[in-house]
Amino acid sequence: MEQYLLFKLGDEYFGIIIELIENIERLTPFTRVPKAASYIKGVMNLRGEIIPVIDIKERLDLGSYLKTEDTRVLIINWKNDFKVGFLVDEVFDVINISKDSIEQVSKDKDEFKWTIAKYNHILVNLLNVEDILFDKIQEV
Amino acid sequence: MDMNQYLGMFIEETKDHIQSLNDNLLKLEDTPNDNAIVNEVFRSAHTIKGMAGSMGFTKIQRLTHAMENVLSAVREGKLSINSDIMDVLFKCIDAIDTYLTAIIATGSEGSEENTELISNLEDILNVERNVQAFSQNETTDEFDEYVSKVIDRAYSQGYNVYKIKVILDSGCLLKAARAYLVFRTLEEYGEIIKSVPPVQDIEDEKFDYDFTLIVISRENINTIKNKILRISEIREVEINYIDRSKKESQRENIYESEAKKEVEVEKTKEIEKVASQHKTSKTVRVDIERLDVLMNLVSELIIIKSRIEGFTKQYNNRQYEESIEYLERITNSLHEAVMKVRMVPIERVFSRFPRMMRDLSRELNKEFELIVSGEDTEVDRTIVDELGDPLIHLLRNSADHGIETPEERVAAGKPKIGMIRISAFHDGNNVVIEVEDDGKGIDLDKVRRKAIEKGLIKEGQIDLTDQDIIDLLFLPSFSTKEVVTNLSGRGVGLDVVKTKIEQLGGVVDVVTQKGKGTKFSIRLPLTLAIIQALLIGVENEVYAIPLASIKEIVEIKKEDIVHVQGKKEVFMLRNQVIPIKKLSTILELDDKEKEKYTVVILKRGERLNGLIVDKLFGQQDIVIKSLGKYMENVKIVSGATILGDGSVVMILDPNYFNA
Repeated sequence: MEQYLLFKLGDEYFGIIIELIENIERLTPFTRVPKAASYIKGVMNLRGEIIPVIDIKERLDLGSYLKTEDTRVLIINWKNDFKVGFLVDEVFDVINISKDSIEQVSKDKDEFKWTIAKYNHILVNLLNVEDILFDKIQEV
Repeated sequence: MDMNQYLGMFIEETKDHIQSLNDNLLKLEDTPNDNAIVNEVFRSAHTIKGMAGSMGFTKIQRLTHAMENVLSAVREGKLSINSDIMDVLFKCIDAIDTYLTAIIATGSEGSEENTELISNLEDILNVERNVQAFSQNETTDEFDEYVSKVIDRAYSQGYNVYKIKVILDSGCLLKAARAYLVFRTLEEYGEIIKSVPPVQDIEDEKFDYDFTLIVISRENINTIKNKILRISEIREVEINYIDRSKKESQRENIYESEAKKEVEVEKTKEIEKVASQHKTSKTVRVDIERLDVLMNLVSELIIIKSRIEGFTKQYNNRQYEESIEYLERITNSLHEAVMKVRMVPIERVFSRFPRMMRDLSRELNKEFELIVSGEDTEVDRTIVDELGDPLIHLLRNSADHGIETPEERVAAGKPKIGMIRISAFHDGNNVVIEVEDDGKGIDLDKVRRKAIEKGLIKEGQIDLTDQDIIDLLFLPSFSTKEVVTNLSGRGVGLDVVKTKIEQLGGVVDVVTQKGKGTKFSIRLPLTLAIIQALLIGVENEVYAIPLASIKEIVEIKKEDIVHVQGKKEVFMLRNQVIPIKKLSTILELDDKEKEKYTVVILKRGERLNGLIVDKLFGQQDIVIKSLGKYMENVKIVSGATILGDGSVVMILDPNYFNA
């Protein structure tokens, strides 16, 4: 059993393993960083700390984020090395997913590894955070 | 007992002592007879031995013990310094340094025993012992005037004078305590008039396992011997009468010994001076992370202060304003005080250079002298730690590429011995470090040819100024030396120096004159944490530019801008052509044609660049915050700051616009 945070991007459900998430913040105004990748929307001030904000919807080619009352920023702590914020449309719950309900659907050459899990009656895309953070194509 | 908490302290202190060993050995090489320096060296070795012992690093302990033996022989005048001894001692320091590196990396000192080095040290001592055995009678019975007078009087009053050599058991742990017991016993039966080594050293355990005393007593030899042997852990006692006749020849040397005494008095003065220096610097070692926490809190305080200042303007209440002004003064002093705590003298970096240059001079077969000045210039600790590698690179560069061989120098009519100077000084809110040599200078034609060869510039490209050509040197993997030595040509070029300095928010400049020499200057901010910046506006975005890199701000008309070579835009400022760029274009924002433009003139050394901005919001102290590792590759900004209202503002990196 592993715990995931369930959230929505557009009409689809997604999950990120809970250990990586430090906290969940409301959207505050952020500042654009010139010459940064287009999915990096800018940086926000999180109690004196500067946190880059990533539009994961754009990163995953699912359009771009919409600013609503429900928009949240997931603060990801990557191996204590740095922190980033992920923009998501709506956050639900922490869910338990058993390992045998996870299924790999992407091919090896795909940029993002898609795994899908069934939770109650919905399908949840489990995100590989590493793929989102590090642009392998750009690095080559 | 958990030793981990002491390990950090051990490492730091050993580092300091290795440094001081290096410094003092270099000094000793110049003045081999200065006992004050020998004492310093001995003390460092002794301290390392003690610390290593308590940490359980037996290999370091063994090595330093062997060093100590040699040094104490030198100190007692049994052995005189020569280049062989110096070389062995330098090797020992390197060996300790290697142990320390291993300890830092793995927590243990590794498997290297350095037996060869230790036997080298022992050999030195053995040679000395053999020599000493021959000359023992002549040398050890020498007394100064005072002692001989006392001996004379003792004899005339019917006392015996003995020379007593006490040898302690080699397993003896509390040597000073045993020696104390010997002293006390002897004092019951007579008077100790001389002790070798001196009493102070014996108290400090600065002796091997034996010491020699001159004692006046009415008792006979055997009584004294038995009394001493009753003390435990004494291996052997040798007692001899002091021969009266010997002293007659001694007399003749009185004048000489008086002269010696004067020298000795001066030496003791020096020792006292050194000792007092040690006493005056009372310090506390603080983990740099704790200082960072303190610094962060001060930063937060400054941010909230600016925020409160914003409110004051609305309230318009005098008392309120006064309190805010007071708050401002306090925060400023607090900021300054914290900054000062973080400042360390640049000596920390400079001190390892003399040794390095000594080795380098041998390796390259070149003769040069290193002149160091401004070691006491203080710089933020975080900067100092990063400066070592770039400076080593520049110094090696000067020695390798700059300074000519002695023959070449003589042929060029220069002094045979070259000069490399490294100096540091404060200039406003900056610290400047210069590495200068009087070598052959940079051959610009050669650089140009090489650049063409490497495809960095085109064959017929003639619009390059000398400065442009010098800049080519800072491009990755550029090396002009035809023969690759093991110093340069290891793929680490000047570009590494430039990158490092720019990461620290500084700039590197080069001035060179063919045949006369080259000067590299590094200009760095005093601190990385808080700087003065100009806030400017482009479209509806706000940016900060470090004030240190702004020369001036001018207003120009649209028609002042001239197009050259098709695309480049320049304008004339007091007869100087200045390239100009629109910040809005660079930042990929809309740029509107206007009648008048506000231009911020950025300076980098001699170079000026114009940057067109829309609005000026004035200057402010800003706290630099990193964008974090994830945004490391964004070059146009060097960090961000948080304004009083909580909004984040990007700090533009002036180096980006000067490229």
